[in-house]
Amino acid sequence: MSSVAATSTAGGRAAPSLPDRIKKLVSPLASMRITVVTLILGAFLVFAGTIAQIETGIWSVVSIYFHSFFVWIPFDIFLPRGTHVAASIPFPGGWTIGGVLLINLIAAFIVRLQWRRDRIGLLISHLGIITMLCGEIVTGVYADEGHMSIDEGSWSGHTEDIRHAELVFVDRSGADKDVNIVVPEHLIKKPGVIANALLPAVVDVQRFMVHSRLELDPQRLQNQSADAHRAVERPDVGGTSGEGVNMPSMYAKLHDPKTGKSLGVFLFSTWAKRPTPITIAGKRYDVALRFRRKHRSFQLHLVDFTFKRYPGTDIPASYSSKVRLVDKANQVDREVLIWMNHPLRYAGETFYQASFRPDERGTVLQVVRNPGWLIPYVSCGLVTFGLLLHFMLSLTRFLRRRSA
Amino acid sequence: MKTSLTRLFPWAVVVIVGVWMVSPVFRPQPEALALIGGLPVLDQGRSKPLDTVARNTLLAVSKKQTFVDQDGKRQPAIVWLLDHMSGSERATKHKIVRIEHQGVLDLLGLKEEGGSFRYSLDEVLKNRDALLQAIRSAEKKEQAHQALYDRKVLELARRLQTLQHLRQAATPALIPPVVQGGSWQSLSQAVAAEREGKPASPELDVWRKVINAWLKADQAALLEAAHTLSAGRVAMDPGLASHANWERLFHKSDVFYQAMLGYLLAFLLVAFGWLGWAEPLNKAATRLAVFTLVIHTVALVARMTLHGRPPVTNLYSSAIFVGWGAVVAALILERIFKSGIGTATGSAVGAASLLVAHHLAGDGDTMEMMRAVLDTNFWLATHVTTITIGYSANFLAGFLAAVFVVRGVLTPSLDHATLKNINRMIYGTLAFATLFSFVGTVLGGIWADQSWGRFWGWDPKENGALLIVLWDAMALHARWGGMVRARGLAIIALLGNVVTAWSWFGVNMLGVGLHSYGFTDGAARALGLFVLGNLLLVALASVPTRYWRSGGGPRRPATPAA
Repeated sequence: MSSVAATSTAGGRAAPSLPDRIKKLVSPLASMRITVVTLILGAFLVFAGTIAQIETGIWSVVSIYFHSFFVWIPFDIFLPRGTHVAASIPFPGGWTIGGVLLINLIAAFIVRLQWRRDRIGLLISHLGIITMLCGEIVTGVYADEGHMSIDEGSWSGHTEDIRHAELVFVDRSGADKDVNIVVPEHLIKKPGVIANALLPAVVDVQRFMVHSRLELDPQRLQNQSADAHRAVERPDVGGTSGEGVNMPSMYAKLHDPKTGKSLGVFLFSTWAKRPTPITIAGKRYDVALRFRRKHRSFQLHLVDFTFKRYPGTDIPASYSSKVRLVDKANQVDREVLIWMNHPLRYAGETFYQASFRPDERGTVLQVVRNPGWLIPYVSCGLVTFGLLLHFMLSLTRFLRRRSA
Repeated sequence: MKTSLTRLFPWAVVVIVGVWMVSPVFRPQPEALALIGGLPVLDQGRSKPLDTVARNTLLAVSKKQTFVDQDGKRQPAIVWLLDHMSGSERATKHKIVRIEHQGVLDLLGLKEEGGSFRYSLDEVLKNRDALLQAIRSAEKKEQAHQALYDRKVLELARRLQTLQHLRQAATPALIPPVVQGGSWQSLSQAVAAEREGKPASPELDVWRKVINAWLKADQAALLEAAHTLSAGRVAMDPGLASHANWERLFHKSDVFYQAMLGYLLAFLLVAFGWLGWAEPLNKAATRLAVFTLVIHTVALVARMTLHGRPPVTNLYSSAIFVGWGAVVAALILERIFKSGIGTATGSAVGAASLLVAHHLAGDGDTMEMMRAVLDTNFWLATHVTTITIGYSANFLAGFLAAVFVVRGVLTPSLDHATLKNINRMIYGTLAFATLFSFVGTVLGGIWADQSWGRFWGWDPKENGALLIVLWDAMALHARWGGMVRARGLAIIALLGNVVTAWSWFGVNMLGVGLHSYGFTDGAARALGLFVLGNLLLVALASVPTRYWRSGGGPRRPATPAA
C-alpha cells in the first residue's frame, strides 16, 4: 500500500476536491491484496480446469469453469482416477475472477498508478491487461465457430456446429428448393412429446443420448428390419478418450398429427450416413439427426485436397484445400488455397484448414466468426511494450546505482 | 608458490576438463565403421546417417547408445546394427533388450541379474508363446483399462517389432533411388525388385559384400565395400553425404552429456568453495561454467543447423534450451553480483536440465519431422523459444530461492548483504520470467489464432503457460504490495518451480490437448520427486527465522524496489 494517497490537507479546512473523494471511495477496491488473492484463485481455477479435462470434454470444462460465475469443483479431479469422494469445493468461476481483476485494475488506475516517467511502462501494460480482459468478454459473448466438411468435387454452403445436434424433416417435393423443418437440440434432449403445427409429425422423444455408438442388433437383424442397428449410450467425451466429438443418437416415436396413429419407433443418429425416409400422410420426408447447421449465402466447392505424409511414416507433413468460392449475390467467383496457418477470410468469417475426412478425399474447415479477434493483438502489444519498458528502466536504474 | 597456485588453478581446471569434454569426437574408430555409419539413409521420414539409426534403435530398445558384447567390451551401436542386420549369430546373444517390469520378467522366466536389466533376444524369446498370449490379451483391452503390466508388454512388443523390421531389412531405406525421382528402398525391397527383373541398384551387391565381409570378419573386404558405398553417396549428392557425416560426428561427440558433466563439476567446485579456499574454487567454477556454456552453445547451433529448425522443436530440445537460457541468465547475474551464487545456480539448472534431456532422448529420434501444424519455423522460433526462456528464468529463480533457503536455514553463511543480493536476483529473474512467459504465451495465442482461429482455447498446454504467467504476476504484485519480503519471495519462487515443472511436463502427462508432445512413466515419477523436493524446501523455509542458523538475517526487511 505504498502510495494510496487520499489525504486531506494539513489544515483540514478545505473540503476534499471531487477527484480526491472519488479516490477515497475507490481506494479499497484498488488494494494490491485483492490483486494477489485473485491471481492465486485464478491460478488454482486454471489448474483445476486443466486436470478436469482428463475426464470431461474441453467445451464443458470451458463453460463450467471459465465462462461461469461460480463453480463447484469436484474433489475427485485431484485424486488418482478411479477414486471417488462425494465432495465439491465451491469456487468463483472465470467470469467472477476476471471481473474482480478488472474492477481492481480500473480502481488501481484511478487511485494508484500515476503518470510518472518511471511508472509509464506499468501504466501501459496494465492498460493492455484491461483491454485483454474486455476482449475475452467480447469473444465469450459474440464468437461463434463451426465446421464445414466438403468432399472432393462437391459443394457446401453450410457449417456444422459439432457441439449441438438437431432433428430435421426434409421435404424434397419442391421443384427447386428443399424445405428443412428443424427441431433444435434443447427440445429433443428430454423425453416428451413435441407437437407443432409446422412439424409434419408429432415427435415423442423416448431417449436422447449425448454420445453414442451404433452396433448391430442381432434381434433386428433376424427380423430383417430395414435398419439393423441399435444405439448404445457412451459417456460424454472426455479430453483423453481420443474420440473427440460427441455423436448423439435418439429414439423417438412418431405419430401422424391428424389421425394420431403411430408410425413406429425410430432410431436417428448422427452416425447414420443417410436420412431415414418416412412417409407421413402420403408425403415423403427425409428425417435425420444431424449436427446443427447454419447456412451461408455463398458456397464453397472443393476442387482438390492434397495430403502429404513424410515418406515411410504416418506423420502428416502438410494438407491443403483448393476451393472455389462462389457468392452469386456479390458476384464473387474465385479459387483459393487454404492450408495450415493460411486461412481464408471472407464475409467476416475465417476458414481454417482444420482436418480431413477419414478417407483423405475431403477437407474439414474450421469456420470462425469473432468480431473481437483483433483485441488480443492490440492488448498483447501494449502489455509487452509496457513490461519491456518498465523492466528496462528499472534495470538501467539499478545498474547505474550499483556502479555509482 | 601459493599465490601462483591460486592463480593457475582455475585455468588448469578449464584446460583439463575442457580437453576431456571434447575428447569423444576424437576417439578412434575403425575406418570402415566410420564410413558405413556416415552413410545417409532414409528412416522415419528423414535422411540421416546409418549411425543415427543404429543409436536411436539401440537407445529405444536398451536405453543406451552403446552395448557390452559377450567379451565384456563396450561397443558402439553401429557394431550391434551390423551384427543384427547381417543375421550374425552374435546378434541374438547381445544383451540389449531392457526390461524392468517385474511382471514382464516373470512372464518371460527371466531373473534380474547384475542390475542392468538387459537381456538377449534368445532369452526374451525363450518363452515366445507366453509372450504372444500376453501381447494378444493386452491388445484386446481398451487403453483406459490397460494395467501398467499390459502397457509394458505392448511396449516390449513394439521394440521387438522394430528389431524384427531391421532384421528382415525392411527398414531403414538404405538404397538411394535407382532412377531420377524414384524412392529410396530398403534392402528387402531392393531384393524383391531385383527378383521381379526391375532395374537393380548397383549398391545392392555392395551391401551383400558388406554383409558377407562382416560375417566373415574380413576387414579388408569390409573397408573396400565401405569405400565404394561412401564414394557412391558423395558422387550422388555431396551435400547430403557431408550433412550425414556431420550428424554422425555430432552424435559421436555426445556433447550435451559432456556439457552436463561440465556443469555438474562447476557446481561441485562452487559447493566446495563454501567449505574453504573460496576464491580460486569460485573462479575455476565460473570459468568452467563459461567454457561449458560455449560448448553448449556451439552444440545448440550445430543441432539447429543439422535439423534446419529453431532451437526448440520437441520436449528433448526444450530441455536443452531451458538449460542454456538459465545458464546464460545466471552467468549474467554472476557478472553483476560476483558472489558465486549465479555460477552455482546456473550450473545446477544447466546440469539438471541436460540430465532431463538425456533421459528424454530415449524416446527415439531427437531430430524428428514436424507434424503439419507445427511445421512453421516462424512460430517455433518466436513462441516456443520465448516461452522456453520463460521456463529457464522461472527455474533459475526457483534454484536461487533454494540456495537462499538452504544457506539461510542450514548454514550461518547468509549474512545481510548476501540475503539482499539473492533477494534482488530472485526478484530480477522473476521480472524477466514474467516478461518472457507473458510474451511467449501471447505469441502462442496469436499462432493459435492464425492456425485454427481461436486465440485462446483453454487447452491444457495453454493453461499451463497461463498458470506460469499468473504465478509470476502474483509474485511481483505480492512484492510490490509489501505482502512478502525476502523469505516470502523465496517461497513463491520455490512454488514457481513446481508450477513451471507442471506446466512443462505435467500437462503432457495428462494425455490431453492439441500440443502435448510426450509421456513416460519414469518422467511422472521424476516430476513427483521434483515437486516433493520443492515442497520440502518450502517447509524448510517456513521454519521460524529464530531457528535459522543464519539467525536474524531474514527478519530484516528487504527494501521493495519496484
